[in-house]
Amino acid sequence: MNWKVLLAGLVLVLPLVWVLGSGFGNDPTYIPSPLIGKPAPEFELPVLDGDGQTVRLSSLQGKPVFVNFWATWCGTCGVEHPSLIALAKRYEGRAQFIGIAYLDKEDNLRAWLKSHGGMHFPSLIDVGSAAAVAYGVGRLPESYLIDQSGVIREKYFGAIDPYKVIEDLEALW
Amino acid sequence: MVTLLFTLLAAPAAAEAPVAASASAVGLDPTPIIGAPEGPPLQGEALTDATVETARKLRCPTCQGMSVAESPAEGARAMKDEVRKLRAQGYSDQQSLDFFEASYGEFILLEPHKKGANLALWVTPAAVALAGLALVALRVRKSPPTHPAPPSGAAGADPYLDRVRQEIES
Repeated sequence: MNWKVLLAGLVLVLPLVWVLGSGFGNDPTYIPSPLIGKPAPEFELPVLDGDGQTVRLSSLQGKPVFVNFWATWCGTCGVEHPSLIALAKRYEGRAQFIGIAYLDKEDNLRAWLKSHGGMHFPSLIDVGSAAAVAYGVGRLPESYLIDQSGVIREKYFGAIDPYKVIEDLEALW
Repeated sequence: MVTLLFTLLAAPAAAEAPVAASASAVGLDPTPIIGAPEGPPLQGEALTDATVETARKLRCPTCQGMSVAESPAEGARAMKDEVRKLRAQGYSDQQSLDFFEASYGEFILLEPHKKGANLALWVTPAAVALAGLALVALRVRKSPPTHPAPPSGAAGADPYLDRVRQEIES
């Protein structure tokens, strides 16, 4: 056996195997957010069926804000919606839950909410998708937890784990 | 999950605080993130060219290896609109890329920064090519010199042929 050739082969192949192997178990769609620990981008967006009213993020400072980007064409959004409703009811008055509808139509949003248990917290319309871009939204649903001082503390990819949200919210008080 | 939802729904709720609202909507201000525009406002063909220039350098987050400029996805179109808004206000190509990097991370750049661990992307191919060339050069130098082979029919070239020739001639 040519030990030199074997050694050279191992030197070349082992780092490659290590790099590829270390990727197992990672979610390829997970993109770490650079916004965590930074002030949440300010937005002021119209409320769905709000008679022209808008919600400005900075006006909510003083209590945690949970921002959920969603759409009717997003299948997973339907899966997490019952958890969001339950969480919004549990933390009513102590934390503000907000939905931001991304790339959708108002008629579709109304029909979807009607068939998914109604609107238990304000849903805003992301006009021009500027808010989604500012928050780095890629694949829906995505959610952000903003603390009392307006700093982003956590980003949730995909359907939320309500236990994790409770844990993160409780840590803010 | 059902138990959790039941528990959550049954939890006592504090008094509801109304969501603050105002009469007019405002756009997102990129100034806190990337500062003031470095160039003059653009419009017309110059704006279109500038938008494409920047959008080509941004990755479509919902596609596989496509730029925002190439992608037909709705999300990519929204990003392209945002690029257009930034370039129209006079933000430079780099400022616009910085704006997207601030919210999406370096992942959004199709060409990562040439620094730190990213340098391996540029250095490794060149290093492997050089190592290959060095290996070939080493092998060529070490291989024994080749001597011209005697003509196949000449005597002494092949003992078997010599023996056959001897038997024929005898």
